Amino acid sequence: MKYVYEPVKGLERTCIRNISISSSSDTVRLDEPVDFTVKLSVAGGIRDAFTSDLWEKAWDAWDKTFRMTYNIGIKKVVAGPITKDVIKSQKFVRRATFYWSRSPELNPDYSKKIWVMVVLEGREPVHPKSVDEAKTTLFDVKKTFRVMGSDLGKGKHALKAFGKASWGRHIFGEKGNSQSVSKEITITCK
Amino acid sequence: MAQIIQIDRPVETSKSKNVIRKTMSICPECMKILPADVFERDGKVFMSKVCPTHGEVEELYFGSYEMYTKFSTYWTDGKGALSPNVPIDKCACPTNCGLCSNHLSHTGLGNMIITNRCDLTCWYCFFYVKKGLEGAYVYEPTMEQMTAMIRTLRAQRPVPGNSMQITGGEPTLREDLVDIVKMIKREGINHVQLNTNGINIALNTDLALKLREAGVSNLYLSFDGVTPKTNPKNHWEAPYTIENCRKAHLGVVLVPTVIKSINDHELGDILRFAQTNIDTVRAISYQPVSLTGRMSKKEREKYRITIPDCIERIEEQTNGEVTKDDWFPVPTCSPVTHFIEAFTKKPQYELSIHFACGAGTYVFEDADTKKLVPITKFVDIRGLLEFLEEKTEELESGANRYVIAARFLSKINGFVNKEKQPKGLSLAKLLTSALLKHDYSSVGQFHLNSMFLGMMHFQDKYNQDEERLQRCDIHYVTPDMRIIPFCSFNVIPEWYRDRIQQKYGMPIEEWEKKTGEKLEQRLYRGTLRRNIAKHEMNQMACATQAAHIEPITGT
Repeated sequence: MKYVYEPVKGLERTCIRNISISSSSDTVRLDEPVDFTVKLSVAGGIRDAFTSDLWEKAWDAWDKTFRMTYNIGIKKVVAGPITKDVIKSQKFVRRATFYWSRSPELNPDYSKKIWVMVVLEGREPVHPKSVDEAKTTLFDVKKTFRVMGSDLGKGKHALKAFGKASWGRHIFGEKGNSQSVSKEITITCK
Repeated sequence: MAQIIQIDRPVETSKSKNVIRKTMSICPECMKILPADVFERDGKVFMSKVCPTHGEVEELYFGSYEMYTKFSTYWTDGKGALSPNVPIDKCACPTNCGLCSNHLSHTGLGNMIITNRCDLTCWYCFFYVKKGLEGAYVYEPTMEQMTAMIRTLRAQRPVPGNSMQITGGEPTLREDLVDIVKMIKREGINHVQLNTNGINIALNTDLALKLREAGVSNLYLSFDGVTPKTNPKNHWEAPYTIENCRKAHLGVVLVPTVIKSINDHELGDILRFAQTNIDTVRAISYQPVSLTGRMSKKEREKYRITIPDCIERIEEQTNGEVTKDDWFPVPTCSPVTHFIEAFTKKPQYELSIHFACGAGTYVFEDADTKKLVPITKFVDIRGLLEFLEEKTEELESGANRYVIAARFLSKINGFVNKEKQPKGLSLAKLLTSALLKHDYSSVGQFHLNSMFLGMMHFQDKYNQDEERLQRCDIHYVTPDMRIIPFCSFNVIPEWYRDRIQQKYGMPIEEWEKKTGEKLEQRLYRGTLRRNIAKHEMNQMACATQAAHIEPITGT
């Protein structure tokens, strides 16, 4: 089979957007846990291109799996934009598998229809019913980190969330990555 | 004769189902191609379809939703056949099989029927010629036809067929079997497996050696249970077959057809029997029954068993030695294949069947306790697969292969718990040889020290799923130079198997006239059973061996 490397235009404009951090409480005691929720979305290039046309193009070129590797966590802010001390982080992979679906809803004329299954971290499979659902499942991340007050230490702390997303080279584009940090929040530990 | 293939539009069925996915199937009565729902109910997975003429058919598809979910995460499409024998545009499975341009797996195992005569007449078998049936034909392709079939298989691209099963009927009824094996080897097939009931190999002490010397890699031995009741086919003969194979250094795969309410209570005992012969028995391939012919729903519920049901019974019947968590679907192999492909930049042999078609695991016998130790007890399989996926991506993104090889070597030991690893086995070393050096001789050593447990659930008209069929990699080669997926060939015999055998076979009467033989002449009359003394029979019987876990000492 011959196939041609055809990069999707604008793939380099992929970025992490809407990264945010929120806490379950503004104050916490040393012996209490507090939950931090980190949210982010991969937007632009790869998200925009992630349609059934791209799935079919990749599938035809035997490029049948797309992995997004995320590294997400919380850091303390020391002064201004300088951060140090990763308090908690998680690295995980979400894998999209392109497959030939025989669903009569997807291909009522019995033609080839390449669809996608997303396997989330923890190996939970999702069969999206629409392209938008596939994008949301693969590119929108929400993680909760539970931290003990003692891990933060007494005092007032400024925290930021960080997120990095990376992917490998495919028939539709070069490997790449994008990273971002959130606005800071403060939490007081008594 | 031309036949109109009917295809129907979706029909609304009950909306209360938790539909997992939609697919296409066939009506078991009229073969009309129908939309079908695969859905979950009460922790199990079912398939339902509605034929406008024959009504709704609901069938158990997979006995555990939890296992279905786990298995589905390994779903990956294969490379397919780049040199299709049936080029077509739109896919209309299960018609036009051969392989068509829409098939998604190259041949993993090619089957070649060399005769449809058999020396047994098992009630559940659909695959032998018998008198009294209208249009019954003896099918025995000539050497020229068989050579052409093998060449068709070898012409497959991107991966030429490399693994062949000689099947029947009973292949040992052909006098030229050894010559057939030699021809297959000569044509470049690496792995030759002989599907047999083993009776002739039990009776003829030289046959196993002749077959091994000709090039047979292993026997695929029917073995349905450890008692005469569950295995009337070869209960008394199988130990002799195994003993003759042992002497000839010919490996054996036991193949139980599992039927609910008939032999599903003996799956653990079959494993014990295999364990007693672990020096010769390389694997067990449990095959949940494919329900052929017309059956009422009540009958189907009585006999229907699926892969998760068998796995759960094995867990119960081995007292948890082999648990359900130890099993993985067949496409679990794909990350390994993809890593080797990325490393070598060459297409590799791949087992890309549908995740619901088959499962497997490896077990090792602990030298001290004699207990079975599944591979999952000392290898982090998931971690290893994820690592391989990551390294594959790096290789495909342009990483230096020697750097990746160094990283592989530095990490591989981390996935193997050496304390729990059976003595004499170095899995990390073996994987390094196989994945980086492509030295598979060590894999042979791995097989000698272990036993593969497999499941393969062939479809029938009630649970037929075109997403599964399209990914089938067990194929039949036929004299019309087609390569037909197993689940088309046998599920719709009127379109494939019977038609081919009629075209290339001859009526029984003509065969009898030509050969001077009567078809029933070669039927097995229990000679071995009747000729051996009772005490010896007890010694050789499978159940006795399974109970005592002692190797048989020979005849």
